[in-house]
Amino acid sequence: MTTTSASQETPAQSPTADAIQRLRRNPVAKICLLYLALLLFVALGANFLTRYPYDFQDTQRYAVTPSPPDSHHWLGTDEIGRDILSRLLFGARVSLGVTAVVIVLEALIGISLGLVAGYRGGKTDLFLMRLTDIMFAFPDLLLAILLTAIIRSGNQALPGWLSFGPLFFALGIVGWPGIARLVRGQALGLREKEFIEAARATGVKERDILLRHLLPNLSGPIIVQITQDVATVILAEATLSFLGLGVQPPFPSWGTMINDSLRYLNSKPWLLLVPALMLAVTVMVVNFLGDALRDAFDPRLRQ
Amino acid sequence: MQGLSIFSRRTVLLLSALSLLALNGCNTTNRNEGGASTNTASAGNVLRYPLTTEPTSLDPAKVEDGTTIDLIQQVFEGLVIWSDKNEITPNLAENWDLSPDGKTYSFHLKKGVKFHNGREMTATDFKYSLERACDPKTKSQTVQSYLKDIVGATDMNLGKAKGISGIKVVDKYTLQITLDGFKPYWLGNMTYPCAYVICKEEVERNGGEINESNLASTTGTGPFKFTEVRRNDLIQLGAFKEYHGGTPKLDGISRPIVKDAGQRLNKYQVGELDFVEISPADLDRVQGDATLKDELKSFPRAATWYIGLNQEAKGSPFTKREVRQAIAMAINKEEVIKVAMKGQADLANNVIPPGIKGRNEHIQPLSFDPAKAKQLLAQAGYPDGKGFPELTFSYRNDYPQVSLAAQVVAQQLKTNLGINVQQRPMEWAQFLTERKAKTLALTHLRWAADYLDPQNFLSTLLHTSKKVNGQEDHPENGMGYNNLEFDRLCDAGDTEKDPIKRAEFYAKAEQIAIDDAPWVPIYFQRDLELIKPRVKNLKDSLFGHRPHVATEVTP
Amino acid sequence: MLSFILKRLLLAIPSLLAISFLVFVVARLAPSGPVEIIAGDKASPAVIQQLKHQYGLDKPVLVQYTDYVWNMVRYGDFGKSFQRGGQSITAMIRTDFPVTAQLAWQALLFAIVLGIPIGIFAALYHNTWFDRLAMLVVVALVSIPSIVMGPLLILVFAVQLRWLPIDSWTSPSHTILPMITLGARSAAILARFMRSSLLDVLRQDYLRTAIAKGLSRGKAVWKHGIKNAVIPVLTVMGTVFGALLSGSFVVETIFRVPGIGYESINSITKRDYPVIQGMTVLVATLYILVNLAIDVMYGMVDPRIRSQEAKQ
Repeated sequence: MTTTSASQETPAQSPTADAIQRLRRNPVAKICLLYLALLLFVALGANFLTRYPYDFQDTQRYAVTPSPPDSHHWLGTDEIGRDILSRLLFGARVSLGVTAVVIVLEALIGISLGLVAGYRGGKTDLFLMRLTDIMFAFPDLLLAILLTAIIRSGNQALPGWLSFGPLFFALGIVGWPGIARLVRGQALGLREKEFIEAARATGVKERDILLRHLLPNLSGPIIVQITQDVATVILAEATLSFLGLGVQPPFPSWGTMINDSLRYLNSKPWLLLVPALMLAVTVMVVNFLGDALRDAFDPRLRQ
Repeated sequence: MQGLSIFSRRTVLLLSALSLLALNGCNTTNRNEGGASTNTASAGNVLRYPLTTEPTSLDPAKVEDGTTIDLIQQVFEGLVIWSDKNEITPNLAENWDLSPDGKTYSFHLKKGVKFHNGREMTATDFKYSLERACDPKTKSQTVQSYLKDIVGATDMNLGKAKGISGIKVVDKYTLQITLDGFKPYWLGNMTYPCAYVICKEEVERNGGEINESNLASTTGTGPFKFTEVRRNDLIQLGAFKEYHGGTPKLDGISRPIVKDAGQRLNKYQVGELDFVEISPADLDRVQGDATLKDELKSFPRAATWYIGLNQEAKGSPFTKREVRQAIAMAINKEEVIKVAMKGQADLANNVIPPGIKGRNEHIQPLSFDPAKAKQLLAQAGYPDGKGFPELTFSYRNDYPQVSLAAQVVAQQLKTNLGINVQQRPMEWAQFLTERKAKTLALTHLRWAADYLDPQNFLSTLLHTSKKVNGQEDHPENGMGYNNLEFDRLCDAGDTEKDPIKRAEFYAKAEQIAIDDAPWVPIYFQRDLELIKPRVKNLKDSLFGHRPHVATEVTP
Repeated sequence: MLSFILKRLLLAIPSLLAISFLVFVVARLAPSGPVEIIAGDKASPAVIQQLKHQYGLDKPVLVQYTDYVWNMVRYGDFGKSFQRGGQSITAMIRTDFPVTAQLAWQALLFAIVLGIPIGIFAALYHNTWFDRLAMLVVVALVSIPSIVMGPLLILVFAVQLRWLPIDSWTSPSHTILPMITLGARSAAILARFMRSSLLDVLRQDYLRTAIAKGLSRGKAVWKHGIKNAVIPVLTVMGTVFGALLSGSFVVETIFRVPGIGYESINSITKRDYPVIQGMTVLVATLYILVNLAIDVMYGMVDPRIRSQEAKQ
């Protein structure tokens, strides 16, 4: 990668600031950010933006559910009379919330392991590399399913949002090796650099070298990697929920909505189209943004 | 590079040919759906209906799921069988005598019954079949439920004996079976596949196994025999001309394996299938179609879906009778059926499904009455649900209808009683484990009958359970329900020889169970099927379609 | 080369052992096991205990694991499924794996046939409307999850138009929709990579020299450009294969294709330990072998990589 060398040649401005400037000139990135801001707003404000709670079953009103869109339920109701718009918006909250927690989790594990391994090298590094090898060879979806299934069968029902715990844990465990490898590779390259040598010579503690000197110089690649992981995690949550192993009722998830809609493909295809569109567009936007970020941090890759 | 050798060059060439076909030839290859699928027999005098899953086993001793039972009951048979009036009727046994103490049955077998290989079936075959089922080597999971009443069966199954001491071959046509007690409901057990007769020499020729690798091992006495078993594709059966009940009307049965519900419906509509089971979710497509609508049939099944109120769970509020009654009266069963089951189930006021003799036909139900329910809850010390303990509502997560019904009930409890329940959809394995440990307070589950008798609902499920020699004597009472009067009535019914008096005992017991509300019956299951008009004479019992001996199809 | 392959294969053994151990232990951590399901909802504790004994599940986990590995090494026996009438894992793999392999190969072919030409034309017509459109489609294809694309294809081609059958795996037409769903993402990855690789080559001096020497541009691109550009594309084949392999789990489930992905996912909820173990190890082995094969191929076409590998 070339970001690091570039960062030292232009000390006047940090690479992050550089990148942000480039990003601001990119119209695609602007649109993507706008979409994500909107999605975040909708997710956070779902309580105020929707007319019905996500689990309210409006069964008195309709003789047959799912019911098509009308003035009460703008996108219709699902098979037990719940407002699809509400579930879509709260589904955004679930999707973004799960993603946020999982990303923080895998970043914490991945960055700290990667830093230590890359900086120390030797046996620590070898061990980490072997571990990531194993994790990469492990079919990730199987591992995630296995972990959620196992954790969820603990003898206690987890109340409310805590019921997402197994999902957080499983996706976090599956996700960290990518970041760890990246950080390790970068740290390996940086540790021989003069400013690190200098810091070490002046007796700066290892922890401070890692956090104050190494980490800030890695922010670019990490941000790019994390953006790519965001798309992966959104997808993983939706996929697990689609398989019935992710988000559990009564909480909504786009993946669950897609799976539920399959039973009505013949007669009520909009049940599929609404959450499918939402999921696809969101993942697409994150991918576009990821590309834009990569270009911004590493202009040489741009063609 | 070993691992890559599977991708032979031939495959690659073939695949590229296929992909080209895929890219260019969508219109030509696939317009004719019938031509695309190689797995359907020509209509003719053959009944065609799908298997919804791969059959779990072709061995009667191992089969336990409804789909596979329906398949193998065409091939194998037992001493007795459920009639279309849901009564035990003779099959391979012509008749039987019961000893005065009610413990020993002497079955007089039909003479001249032939196995598919032409040999005559005798009492020795039955002894062999039952003992093979109980042999631990067979690894049957069902004998413990269905054959345990036979003296010595459990000993053999646990490896403590070489044979079953309670089974005797009196002569070629007489089989004597001794039970460990008088059980007026016991014959129902003999209708289950693990009590079917198999053909010793054919099974032994296949190393003691019954499977598709050697179809001769599936030799039985039934109206049909397997002619072709193709994994994940198709199973074909041909008529057995020398069937003891007369040559079947059909030439054969064709069972394509079609796992997807939508696809089954498609195939049915284009005329590739004669009947299909459908799920409530498919209903609105069916009802929107004039032809399909007329071909929709539903069949009652011997299964009760209920809300379990476990008194033994830690901190359970259900020890108070008023709380249980309040829950019972706060549940709008009609709405559950309308919303979750799309109207396709029978509202349950009884514990016992309709069609089972001895059921109380004049039950006084606890009907839906939110006001009364609230009042009862207040009486129990929880006005408007205040102070009501945190409850977890557990149910299995692998069937959409179960999950939907549970969610509807959860909202009703919230709206009508002010009780908030924490929903906990669980994997089936976990649900079973915790249910058996009796730690689940509030559950939605079903009881499916083993045999059609009130005993199998009332005594089995709700009689007080005591530990005898470290084992529960009524392990299926998962609710911790105990009512001495109810127990007394059940005990009386279980050992009464006069059927009319027996029914009276059970009727009283059932009313007590409804009043006490140890659990709340919600609906009785119905299976939905689309059946083409060309299918005639399809016979049904509460356990499903009967063997297709008399079934006919018009070309 | 041979020693390199041998070394990598030897290194794979501890990895595979670790994976099998991990999956073995993790699966058994749950308080409920396969026996509860096998015994059904009416079995007594005694029956459950007896079944556990029968299947050897009452032994300590470590003992179970050593037994498992021993049977595997000594007899090549991967155990028997707890469901499916006690079918052996080897037999299951024999019936299920060809299905997955066929799906994966078709999808790969689809991806190559669709992705490589798009990449080439996008590079040749760099910065034209075609290039931009192609790259937009590429991001779209990478982004559309199979749980969206699969159902949408079913909706359009199976439900509405009734052109293609779904579900089951009995004729070529059944394979088309799963193939497209699985292959689309890989097609996009290949297209993007082919494009940038060819762009790189097009800037190289030797190509300009060739053209200067009188070779027509088309011929030069064809003879020198594309050939050289394809080599780096081999490096993404690992990624592509990984995408196909992990993608097949979901795609097989959506279309109920009776391959190893569908069976593995089913086996987890049924707690069918031997199947979970067997399938995981199988998939991991495939992953390792394919990556090795790609490294070897890459080493053969570009000796520099080999020397780098040797240094590490």
